[in-house]
Amino acid sequence: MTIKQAAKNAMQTAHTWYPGLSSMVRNLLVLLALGVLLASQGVKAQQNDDTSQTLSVQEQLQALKKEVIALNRDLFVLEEDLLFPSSTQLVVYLAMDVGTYFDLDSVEVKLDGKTVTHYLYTEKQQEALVKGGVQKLHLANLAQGEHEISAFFIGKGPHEREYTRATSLVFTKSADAKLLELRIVDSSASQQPEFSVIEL
Amino acid sequence: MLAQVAKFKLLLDCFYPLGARLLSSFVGLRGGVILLSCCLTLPVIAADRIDNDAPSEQKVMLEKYYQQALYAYFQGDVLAALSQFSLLEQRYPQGLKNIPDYLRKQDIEPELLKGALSLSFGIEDQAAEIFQRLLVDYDSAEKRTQAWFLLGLTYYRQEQWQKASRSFGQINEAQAGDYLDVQSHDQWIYLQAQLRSLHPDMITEQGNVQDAESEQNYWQEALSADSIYHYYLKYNQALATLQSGDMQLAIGQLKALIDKPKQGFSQFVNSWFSPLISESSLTSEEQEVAHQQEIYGVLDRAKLTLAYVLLQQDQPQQAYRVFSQIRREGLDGEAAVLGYGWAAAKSDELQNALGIWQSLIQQTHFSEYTLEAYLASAYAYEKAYAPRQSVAILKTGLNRFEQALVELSETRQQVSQPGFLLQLAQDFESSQPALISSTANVDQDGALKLLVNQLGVSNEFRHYLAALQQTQTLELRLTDWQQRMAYYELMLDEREQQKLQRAQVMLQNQIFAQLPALVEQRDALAQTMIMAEQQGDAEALMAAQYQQWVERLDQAQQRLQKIETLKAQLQQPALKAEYAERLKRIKGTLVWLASEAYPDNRRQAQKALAELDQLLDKANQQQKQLLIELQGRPDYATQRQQVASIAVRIDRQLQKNQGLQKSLVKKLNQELTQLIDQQQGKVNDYILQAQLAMVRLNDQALQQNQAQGTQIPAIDIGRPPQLAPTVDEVQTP
Repeated sequence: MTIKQAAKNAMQTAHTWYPGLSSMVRNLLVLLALGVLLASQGVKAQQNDDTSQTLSVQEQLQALKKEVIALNRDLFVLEEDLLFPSSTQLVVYLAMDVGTYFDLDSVEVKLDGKTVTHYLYTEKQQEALVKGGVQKLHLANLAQGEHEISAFFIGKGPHEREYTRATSLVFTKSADAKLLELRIVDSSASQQPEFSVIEL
Repeated sequence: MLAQVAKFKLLLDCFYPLGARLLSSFVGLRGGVILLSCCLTLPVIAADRIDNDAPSEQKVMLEKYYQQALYAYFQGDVLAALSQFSLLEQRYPQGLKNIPDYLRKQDIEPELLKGALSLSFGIEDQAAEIFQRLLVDYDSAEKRTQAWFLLGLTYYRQEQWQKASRSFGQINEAQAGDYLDVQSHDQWIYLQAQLRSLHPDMITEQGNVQDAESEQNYWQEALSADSIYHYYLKYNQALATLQSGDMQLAIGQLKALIDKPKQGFSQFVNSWFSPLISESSLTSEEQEVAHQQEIYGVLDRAKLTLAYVLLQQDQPQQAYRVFSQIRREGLDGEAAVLGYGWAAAKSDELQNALGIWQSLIQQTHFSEYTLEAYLASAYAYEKAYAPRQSVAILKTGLNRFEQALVELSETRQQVSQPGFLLQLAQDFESSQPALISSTANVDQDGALKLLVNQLGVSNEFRHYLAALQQTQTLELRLTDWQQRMAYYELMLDEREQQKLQRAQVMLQNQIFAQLPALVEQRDALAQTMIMAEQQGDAEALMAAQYQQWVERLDQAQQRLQKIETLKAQLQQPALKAEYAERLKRIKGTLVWLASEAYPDNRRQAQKALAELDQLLDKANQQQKQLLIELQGRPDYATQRQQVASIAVRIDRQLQKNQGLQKSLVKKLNQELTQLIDQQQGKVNDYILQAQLAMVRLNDQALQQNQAQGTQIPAIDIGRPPQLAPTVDEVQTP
């Protein structure tokens, strides 16, 4: 979410705050005065009445959310242990530098000649990568030994031209988890993007 | 230092669509909204140095966890981002302090980001704890400004007004200007103004403002020129003036607010919208409509207030004009029409008043304004000396009131149905003012829709509804996890079975019997080598190529022998001796080669034999281990325990969630029922008033007839006048 979207949300929600006016017919003048008084005093009184329950609900909800985060974390760890034990684990990250010379549209990853991932990027995802985020692009189990990874990058290069590049790496999978990173880096010298795969 | 400014985007709408409750129905028109849009600008904050002694693998993992958190955060996935932070801190407890500088592309301070995300997710306690801790650690003015601002927002959401005010008060104007972006700066100003207006005692605490008016002027001037908060502050200021009893000043302030758009509304709109259009992923049309609706809403409310004040001040003609400017389709439309009629009546334009109220009476839906229009019309007829018409309208009104009671009764039944509130929460959209939209599929859409939407303007109700919606989201997530746990249990069962089957297959295929046979072969080879050594048979250790040569030589010798024999039988001359000599030479060469290679061959054979021994020994050990494992039952106890433990936690949270959901439904149901009770009481009151008036009017009419012997003619009420919107380009959503 961008700062502008947040501002937009604020304004969209604004009309939800309009207070309703109660009966105006019976005594317009008294009512107006009452309305103003309600604004400053009635609400205060109401706050006292409702605070205990509100806080209680808030506290319960907060505790629940905290536990959900902890559960999500533990679930993530458990799933990695169960599905991708470190002895066979291969993780492929995707990182992107400035992004001046390249707008990423998609990435295809091949392992030993077989396509294992094909990912299309939204504008937001691309933005997240450029701002320093890293995507866990591929997580898999791989037998120990020598393997080759190839990555094909499709997007728009300098001057809005279609750009397709590939890079590959031969690596050895040992008994430990193997971490690889696909990197897209702007080269100011050549004014071109550079693509590489590195072992972390 | 100030050149680099970054923005934290709090995603408050994700889990707290309404943010903190509104401070006041009138005074705090904008209060809760602020929290929804709390977009923070945070400066560059240098991190603690990364620990250079840490193993590089740990550094890499730390960075990857943080970068994944950033990836989730920039996409608006708060839960994923917070989970990554949690994972990072579980593996590296001090990790957030060691994030390298090169990862701060957006100049985001990791711990502040975590606090802001916590606030966004609705975990205010955690957020407050983080900000308080950071304030102890931080020493630079910019860091502290950011932390104080976020802490103030947290307290504001927690409705701890004193603490919120104190936190905001820690920032001075210069710091706010330097370290907060325009949006955050405006929020800081507006929230302070809100807090001060509700808690005047805070003014003396701050000790920097002389009186209310100068304070309001101070806030207005401090806001940026294009800020929409100007509207809210002006309106709240006018209400405060009204409360103080200075009607003329209040009228002037309200008029100034209403006149503002005429002076430069288009310019304001352009300057306000253009940045949004260029950067937001949402369509510019949606944004424009939302902004316009918000401004028109505030203006409608201001006009309504002004009109009633003018009525109070015996200026019905002016009130009449102001009422006519209020949009009919807005939230205050019907209230305006009712008041419009009263302004006409007060100006002795009874015919107009009756026409206006008639337009309300003709509305088929249930509303207190449509019902009160019957009583108002009866009042006007009576004032116009038409008691019969007055009685007639009251009779019609009585029927309508009875019908309203039936509708309310049906509404009560519908509200009490299980699932109604859950569905309402599911469909709840914080950006929509109406809880039940006009297109919603609700059977009893009359009174129910009206009452629910009427209650929907209450911040308390919306707050509870948002909380209920959040519990529904959490329930879905927890249920999904519960299913995954069941799947993992099954998966472990399957793995166990597969492992058993593999063991059986291996045992059945007698794979392990092959090793002893190989050992026997090795022993035979070793024996051959010993024999060759003892007998000095160098040829035995020669390579396969040599053995082929020897074989070919033997074949050649045999063939030569055969030829000589056959020649002797046929009495032909014998072959030349050079053939035999040639073969003899070759044999000699081979023997010489074997003899020459013998020391090397022997050494290599011994080495190969030793390596083979090692391999066989290793294989033997592995085989034994494997046999032990195969004979035992596959064990996934640790994994099963982990799965079971998480499953139990999920079940527990589901139960808590359901409990919370029930209490929320109960609370919401109470609120709705209470409103229905109030409405029923009100309608009963109308009925009573109408009945009393009818008795009185009937009596008057009787007396009038008896006195005059003539019938009073009905008044032609004519067509109701049209309401005109303030700005021509009003867009209805």
